[in-house]
Amino acid sequence: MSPPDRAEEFVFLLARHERLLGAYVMTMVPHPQDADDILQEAKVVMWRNFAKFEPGTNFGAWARKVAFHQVLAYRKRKHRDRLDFSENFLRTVSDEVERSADRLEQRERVLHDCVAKLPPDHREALHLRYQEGLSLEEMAARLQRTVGALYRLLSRIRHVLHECVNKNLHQSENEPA
Amino acid sequence: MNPPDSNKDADPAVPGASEPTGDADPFDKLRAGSAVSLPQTELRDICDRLLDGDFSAEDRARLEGFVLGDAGLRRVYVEIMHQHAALRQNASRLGNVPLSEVLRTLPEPTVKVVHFHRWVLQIAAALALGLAIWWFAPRRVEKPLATLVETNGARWENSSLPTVPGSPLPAGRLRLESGVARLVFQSGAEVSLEGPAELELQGPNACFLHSGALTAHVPPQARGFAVATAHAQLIDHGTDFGISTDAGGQGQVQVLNGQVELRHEHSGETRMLATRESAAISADRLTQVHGVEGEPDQYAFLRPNAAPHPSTLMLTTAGGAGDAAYTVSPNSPIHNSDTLLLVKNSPSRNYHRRAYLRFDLAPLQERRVEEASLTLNFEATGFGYASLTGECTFAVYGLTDHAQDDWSADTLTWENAPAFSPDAGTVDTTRAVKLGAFTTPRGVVSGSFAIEGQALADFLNSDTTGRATLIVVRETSEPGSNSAVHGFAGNHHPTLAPPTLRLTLAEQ
Repeated sequence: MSPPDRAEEFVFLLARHERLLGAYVMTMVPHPQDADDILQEAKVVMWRNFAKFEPGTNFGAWARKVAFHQVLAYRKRKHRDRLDFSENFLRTVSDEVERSADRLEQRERVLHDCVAKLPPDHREALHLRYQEGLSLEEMAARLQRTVGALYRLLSRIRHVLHECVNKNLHQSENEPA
Repeated sequence: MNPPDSNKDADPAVPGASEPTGDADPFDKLRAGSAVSLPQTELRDICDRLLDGDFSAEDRARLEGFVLGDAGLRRVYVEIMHQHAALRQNASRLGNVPLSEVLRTLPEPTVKVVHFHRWVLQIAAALALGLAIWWFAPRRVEKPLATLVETNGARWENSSLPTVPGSPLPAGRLRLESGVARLVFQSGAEVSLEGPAELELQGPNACFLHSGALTAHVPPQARGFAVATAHAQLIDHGTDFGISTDAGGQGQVQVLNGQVELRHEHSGETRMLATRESAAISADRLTQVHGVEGEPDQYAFLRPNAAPHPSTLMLTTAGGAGDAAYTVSPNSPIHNSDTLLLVKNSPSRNYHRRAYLRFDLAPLQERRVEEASLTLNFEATGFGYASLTGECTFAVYGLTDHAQDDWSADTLTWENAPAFSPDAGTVDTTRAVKLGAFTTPRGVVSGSFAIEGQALADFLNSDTTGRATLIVVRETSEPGSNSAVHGFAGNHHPTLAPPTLRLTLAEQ
């Protein structure tokens, strides 16, 4: 296979799996910035080692293995933090994601429908928080509401979405393929 | 297949939650037996703090407990985090442009593989959005993490760290050779570090104890103060504890008052320790020791063998009502030092300098001194030539005329100094008693020198005023005037410890 095809293959595989990969790292590293850094490093390592990936095998699992090692390497490198999860926790959560990878990808598809069904003010809150990346304080200023109210609102939206996905996922599972 | 219906619409924590439906959630049973389980509600609260609020070390511990202990809660945790990441990533997609399009807009790779690598890496980097290549750069910020508030005979090793109270301490390692240093972290957590010890300041409320011992007082606003060692991590839940470790990571923790959480690095084992409980840390486990009877020697754990040990005390001229100064004979050239106490004896030219030290003995609390030593830390003064300086003997006198103990560095002069004797090599022996002498070798003008012995201990025990004045004179007179002026650190030296009394006290 010539290099450009190989590169294209990498980019497409990564595009297909990177969203779950990002979620995977976030389950293990609470700080979003750290998680982003690790994800970046992992992608570079994946590309460097892409020759070792056997085409046709599970790229997602391979990528998560690389990312897991990057999480461990990152922790070793940086100062220990009292908020860092134990290694035992990381392995347990990692196994859980691996086991439910397919289901989580289904959940993401259902999630889009659930977001679409939210009332406009909830969608607005998600937009500000996630699309514009505002802090709760900035949101509070923008929406003329208190930080506490927005904290509760986001908490509620998360719960509503989670329940919505639970419900609709089972419906789609129960439907004949 | 439909498992029995769950009581989903009864969840009080979910106003406006999804409509109740006939079909049930097959994962509910896995989760916690019911859709409204309390642990699941708490798990959600913790996740909210993790994502939007202040996630604490306590939350982290609770979360680990839930996730490791229950398969259903583990699944919920992963789902919540996945949902959050999905929302975040969905928002930060490269618009709606498919990646194939992105790829097409990039220049065709040249044949050289090296170039090709470079541009694909750029794509890979561009894939995660809004992020440049800055992740390679360390994000270390040189901000002070703590403040040195007090030192008691503290001596830093291979280090230019300050001993002046009020000095800011940035991230990094402190190697305390001897003495005690008290730091206050930005968070408000107070730490007394006992030398020899190596402490790494890691954050405004976190440190790593590589070796040695420390005690900490953690006020409410600093709860969560963390001390890591090679094998364990301690998280304070308020308020006083001690921790010690050797360089190999073997250590002990003792809670003096309050509660701490101890997590073993290797096994992941977590223990809560309450007042007067202690635990031993080894490479492979934690061993808890419960209910110490009676009133224990609070700091016994700080010593390698926790056997009964007479208490020791270090006093410096910088502590309490202590003071340190030197006087200069009228004919002497004007050499001054803000940081060193200068001592000289040159009878031929009539140049003399003497040092006066006062120690506040209040910390003795009337206890008897069994052993005592006085340490002075010399440093080259830059006045005169060390190479022209022979062996020098210095004598230390104790002021027995306690009426004269109240001198002040600001007003002390050659003539009004206590136990003044115009003979520069000696002092007025009706008002002071010689306690000992030490000798500096030829050509040596720096290093630590000490006197010790019964005379010093007896002198301290004979005190009635709670203060003790010591006088340091150079006994060896010098033939010429080009030999060095000796100087040792006073109370304002940036790195060397002030004059220090090390005392061993009798058991009460």
